[in-house]
Amino acid sequence: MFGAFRPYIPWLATTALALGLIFSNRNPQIETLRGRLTDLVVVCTKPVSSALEAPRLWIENRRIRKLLTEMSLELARLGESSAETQRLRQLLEFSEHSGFELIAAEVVGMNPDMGVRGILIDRGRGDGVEVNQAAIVPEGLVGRIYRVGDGSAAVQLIIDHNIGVAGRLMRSRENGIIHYAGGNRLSLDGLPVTASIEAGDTVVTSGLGGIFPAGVFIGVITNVSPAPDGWLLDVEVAPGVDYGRLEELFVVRETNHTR
Amino acid sequence: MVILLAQVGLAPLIEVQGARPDLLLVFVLFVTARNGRYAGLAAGFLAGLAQDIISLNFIGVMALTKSSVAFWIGFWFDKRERTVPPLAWLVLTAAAAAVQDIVAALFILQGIQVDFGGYLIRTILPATVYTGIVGFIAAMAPFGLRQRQPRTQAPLKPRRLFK
Repeated sequence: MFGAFRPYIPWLATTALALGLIFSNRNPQIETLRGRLTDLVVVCTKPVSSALEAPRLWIENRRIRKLLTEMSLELARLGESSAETQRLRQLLEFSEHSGFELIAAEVVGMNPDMGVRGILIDRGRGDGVEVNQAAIVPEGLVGRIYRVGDGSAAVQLIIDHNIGVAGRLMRSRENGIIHYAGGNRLSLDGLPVTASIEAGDTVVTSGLGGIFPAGVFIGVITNVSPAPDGWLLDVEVAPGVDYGRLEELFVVRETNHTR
Repeated sequence: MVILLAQVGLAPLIEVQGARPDLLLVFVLFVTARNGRYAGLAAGFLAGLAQDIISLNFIGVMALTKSSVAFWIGFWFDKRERTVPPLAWLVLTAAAAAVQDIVAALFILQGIQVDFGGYLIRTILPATVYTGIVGFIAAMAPFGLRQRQPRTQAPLKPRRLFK
């Protein structure tokens, strides 16, 4: 019946079927079937594609982890740099306005000697550092030089039991001696009960004694109470300097300050 | 099924500038070359249908194009007395891919404001070339996909069905 068309019948049939499928795409049954078949194909192909993807993901993961590490290092470096810039700017400003002749030094070590609470700095005799010069930072008094080498020096901190600093109350000009009182506290000793003093008063160096220049900030009065003897006061001072975090300081070379 | 999985899982990985080879088409053409146009027709229809199902196109388009391409190229295969050289596979596969994609685009792009010339150059042409290269590589492969026995007599069951 179909004669010459016979070889083309399968193609016509599949074409008609395909066209039928194409034009019935809005048919909900087809859509449902399509959805189910798609789910099936996804379930079958997911492990394969995941397996094929795995080496690439592994390489990508390594690359990203490396990049992340590099970035975190870079971030840390930038953070450090920023903090250092801030610190140096503060120091520079202090140096310009302090009125003292200062030698900038870097802290290179802690507690150089047993029995003395101190730090090591990278400036020594060759830089003009001498014994009994004061060491200060913008936040206040650090201590005094007690041993000097050619290129380094040891600084005795004022939070050492063996040091006394002549201090003065800024407001009332009362004089006393600053001693280490344990922990992170200082005491201002030698003030009579009649002294004009109250919590929050600022204590600076008085310049008496010839080691520390006058007017260097030491700390703030935090507590005042009568001593057991009834004649003197127990005065507690919070130092302005965080001695555990010293990184740079200035050594006061000449006492061109007013005493 | 394996080729379908390869098309879904492998083709995106070897994508070049957005162009993916049509591994299913290459497979259908090899089936056609080895087993004749009716086998190619069936393989093309099923492979195209499977491709339609997993793609976002509407069902039937790739089934239509793949089966038709396989069927008509099957005429040429059936008349050949010798195996097809790899270079001819490149041209053949690329041409088949081009026809398939252009016909499919006529359906797919219905109602969409797309510059057909641009689509032809940017989408169809790279995929066509890529598929041709894959066909060429497959024809070069040592596992003998193209090593169809020369047809010196009437081919295979499907043809006999209609005699």
